[in-house]
Amino acid sequence: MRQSGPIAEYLDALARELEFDIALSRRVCAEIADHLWQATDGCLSIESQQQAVANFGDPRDLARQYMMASLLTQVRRVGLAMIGASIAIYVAMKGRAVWYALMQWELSAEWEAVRATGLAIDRYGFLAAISIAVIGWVYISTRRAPIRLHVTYNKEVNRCIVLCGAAAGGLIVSVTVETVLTGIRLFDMEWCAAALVPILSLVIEMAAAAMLVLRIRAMIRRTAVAFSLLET
Amino acid sequence: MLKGHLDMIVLAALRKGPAHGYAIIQEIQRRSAGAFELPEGTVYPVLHRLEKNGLLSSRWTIAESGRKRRTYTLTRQGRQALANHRAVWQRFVDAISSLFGEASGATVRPHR
Repeated sequence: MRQSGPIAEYLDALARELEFDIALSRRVCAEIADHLWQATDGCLSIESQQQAVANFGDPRDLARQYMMASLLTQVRRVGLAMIGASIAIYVAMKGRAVWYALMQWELSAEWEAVRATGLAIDRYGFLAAISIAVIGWVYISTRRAPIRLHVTYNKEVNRCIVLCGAAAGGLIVSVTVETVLTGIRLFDMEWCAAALVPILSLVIEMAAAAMLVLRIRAMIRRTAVAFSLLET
Repeated sequence: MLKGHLDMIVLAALRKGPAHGYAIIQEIQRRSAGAFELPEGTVYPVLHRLEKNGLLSSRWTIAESGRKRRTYTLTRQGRQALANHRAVWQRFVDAISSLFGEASGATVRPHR
């Protein structure tokens, strides 16, 4: 049953201010509800609830203070997604290569030049993505949430997003080339059920890259909302 | 000035063992003999940040009232950070004390 009164209103206001991070909002509201009810010392009167709320402080100020750590958590999640996507794409790519070797599927000679160029782009794109992902992960995992907002932290968060974006770019290049090369290979051979394996591996690669892009996009949006809240 | 030392104050309040936010605030007020009057809400983002930075760990428990309660504990890293804060603070106190000591012990010559 939803309670009403100053404490419930305060918690609603706080939940609205913390909507940039829903999981954090749930946790904080549960924790603070316990504090406020303890502060009333078992007295349910409106006055004691008002007193508890007044002693606690402005919900917007509170949300601002939570934002620093929240942004860091979001950035770390994007960093993990970046590493996860890189590993998933690598495994799918290697699995497909092993499958081609097992099935002894060779491209015809007329596609050899395209294949060589594609593989070079694919290799360098993926290597660049992995290198940036590792650098990005080291950078992200060594960041600490500051006590209060300063320009350096804003720059650090933006730098994390740029590194994740650059890694995603490399992965997208790699997956695109893989898609083209797999398409050529499937076009060049007779259709059979075994062709589902490379198609499935491509779907895994695309899903991993898309998941990473969506996470980065959400992070950019959350960062914008968070920093705009600080400006008000 | 107090806000700049909140991390140290919160870590110190958890020195004796795990506690939830309300108990931490009560402990700070009790041990400072009411000298640290903070808006109570200020402590929670600090607890959250210290946890994110690995200095505290936390878990949900159920209070006697049946409500969910978050309990915080110092991690090994947190104990180390508290020891560092304490050493820095002690050096600062010693330095200021010796400055005041010198000032009070000095003879002030009147201008001729």
